[in-house]
This record gives sequence, structure tokens and C-alpha cells, in this order.
Amino acid sequence: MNLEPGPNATTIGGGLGANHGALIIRIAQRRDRTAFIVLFQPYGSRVKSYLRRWGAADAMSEDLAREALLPIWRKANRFDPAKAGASSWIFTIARNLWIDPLRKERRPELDPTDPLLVPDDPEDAEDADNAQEIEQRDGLLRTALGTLPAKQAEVVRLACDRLRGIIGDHPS
Amino acid sequence: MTPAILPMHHLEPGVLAAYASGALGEGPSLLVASHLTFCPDCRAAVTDLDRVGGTLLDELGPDALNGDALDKLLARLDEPGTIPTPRQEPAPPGEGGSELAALPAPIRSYLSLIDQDGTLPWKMLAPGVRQIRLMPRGADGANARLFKLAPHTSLPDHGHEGCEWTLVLTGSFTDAGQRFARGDVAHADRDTIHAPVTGAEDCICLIITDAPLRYTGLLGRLIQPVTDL
Repeated sequence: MNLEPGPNATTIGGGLGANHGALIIRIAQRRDRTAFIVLFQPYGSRVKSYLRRWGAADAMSEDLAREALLPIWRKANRFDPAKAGASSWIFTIARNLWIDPLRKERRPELDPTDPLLVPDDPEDAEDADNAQEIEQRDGLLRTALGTLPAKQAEVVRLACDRLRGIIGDHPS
Repeated sequence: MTPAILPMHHLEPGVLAAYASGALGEGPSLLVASHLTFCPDCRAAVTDLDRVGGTLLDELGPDALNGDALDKLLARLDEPGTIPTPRQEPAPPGEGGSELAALPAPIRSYLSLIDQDGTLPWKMLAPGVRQIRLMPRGADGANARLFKLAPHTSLPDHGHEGCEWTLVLTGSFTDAGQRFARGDVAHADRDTIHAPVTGAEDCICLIITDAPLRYTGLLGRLIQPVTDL
């Protein structure tokens, strides 16, 4: 297996690598260390970069970034390609990880096994149960974001506008 | 199984975005996680936002880890605990039909620290109004509490210094002509003066405030120093 090419080899349109989800699944199924090594370089460096943006000092961001990579190995069996791409999944791990040490707060999470959970509409679930479609949507999103100014606040604002379209305006 | 009743009143997109980005504080995050339990639409929206987060992560300029980071990590892969472990079970929902069983897991996880036998440690605030404080007031002034309002209880008119989010967990209330039931979120800000009235059953709500409330009516001004609302 080839090691990941340098970060410059990635393109905005293609993202970090469409096959990274498959590598996480290999880790889950076969404890494949080579797959872990391939994921280490691109995600470790970006998680560190992400943590520094939230104000972590250099040493702390280094330590936390390593901690954020361990769940890729330990919790690979929880990765569900029908729900999230590799980047989204790793993003959620990194996001939850910094809140504890940096903000000294818990981050309450939805529990998907809660007996009270109101299930998704079966028709929607059928749509989402397709990893290929998820990847296509990731690609579309990436392309759309690639055309925006690279300011995070701007992107989040636009994401909100998009959401407003999804949820609709409610009188709450 | 009866079809679930979906919430009619949702969270604002900006709040969901703050939750997904990790920028939202603990109290409001508890409210979001609880609403998501009842609301497939907002859940799907947060999944979309996580996807935005993943895309942004991809596009960050990389900040290389130290040269020994990979070796340090590989050395830990075989540590005990690296075998996939079942996910931590949520706090037990308690006896069926108990108040605790009617509360979503994120809230149960706070209550399990208080009491696990299914009865909740309500403290009376005023006739027909009981509360449980779920966490200490945050550094940002945020406050997270459960309220239990008796049937046909009306809260005094009150306004706000900051924002107030209310998530209905059991029962219902009406406010300014709108009905709020299980899973619904009511949001009030500094321009809102409102006076909710509960329906025919006990109404349990999660209420998050980011600043003390100010009561406008005479009754409110009388009870405010006592209740720390």
C-alpha cells in the first residue's frame, strides 16, 4: 500500500481522500496498522491545526491531536460510512476532545440508543443508507465550499442559510 | 407503536451550527442534544453540519506533528483498552412510567449524578413550580434547570436580561397563542415578555438561561429575590 502523498497532492474538489472511510473499516475488521499509518499523517496534522485555532498551545495541541487519533484505532467499529465520511467522523472526535481540557466543560451528546429517540422517517433513512451517495454529497459540499472565501465565519453563515432551507422557518 | 409526534418548534439554525462547531456552552448543548432526541429533522441538519466540519477540517493548512508522534501512537495501539469496547451505557431510565424514564438520555446523565431510584429531587420554588438545578451556573452566566409546573399553572409575566430556551419534556404549555409540547423549543430574548400557561398535565421543561430573568408583574418582583430565577 502506498503511503499518503503529501498534503499538497490533495485538491479542494477531491478532498483528502475518498477511500479513507474504507481504511477505517479495514481497521475495524482486520486491525490493519498500515491503514492507521496512512490516516495518521493527513488527519494528525489537520487535527493539530484545528486545535490550535481553538486556542490550544503548541504542546497541548500536539498531545491532544495524538489523543484524537487513537479513537480511529479504538473505536473504528463505531464508524458508519452510511452516516458520515471519514473527515466528518474524525472532526466530531476532535471537536469533542478539546472541549474537556480547554473549556473544562462536558459536551452533552445525543445518545443514539436512547429508548426515547424518535426514529428517522423510514423513507429518509433509505436515502441515507448509501455510502456512495454520502460521498457524492461530500464532494458536492466540498465543491460548493471551494467556491467560497476561505473564511470560516463566512462558511458557517452560509451553512446556516442552507440549514434554514432544510428546516424551514418555524415560529419558534 | 403509535407514530411519534414530531416537534413543531425547532432550534434556530445558528444554534445548531454553534453546537456542531463545539462553540456552544454546556447548558445550551444539553438542550440541543435533548431536542435532537425528539427531532429527526434537526438531527439530520446536525449531521449535515458535521459534514461541513469535516470538510473544513480537510481544508485546514496542516500543522505537522512532531517526528516521534507516529511511533508514540503505534506503541499505544496494543495497550489494554485498545480492543473495541462496548459504548458506555446511558444512565438507566429507571422504572417504566417514572418521571426519570420520560427524560432523554443527555438529561438523565446529569440526574444520575443526583439520584438513581427514579424519583427526582424537586425543590419547591413557588406554589405549582418546582425545579432541579442540573449544573452549577456557568462562567458565562448560563443556568440549566428542570422545571415542573403543575397543571393550569401560569408563570408571572417576565422579561429577560439575556436569552431563555425552554424545551418541553412532558405535558405542554401555551404562550402567546402558541402551543408547545414534548420536543418543542421556545426561545425568548431580551425583547420578549411572556406568560406561559401549562395544559392539563404536569409540564416538565428544561430551561436554559444565560442571564437572570426580570419579572415585570408585581408578583414577579416579589418572588424574584426568593427564587433566583
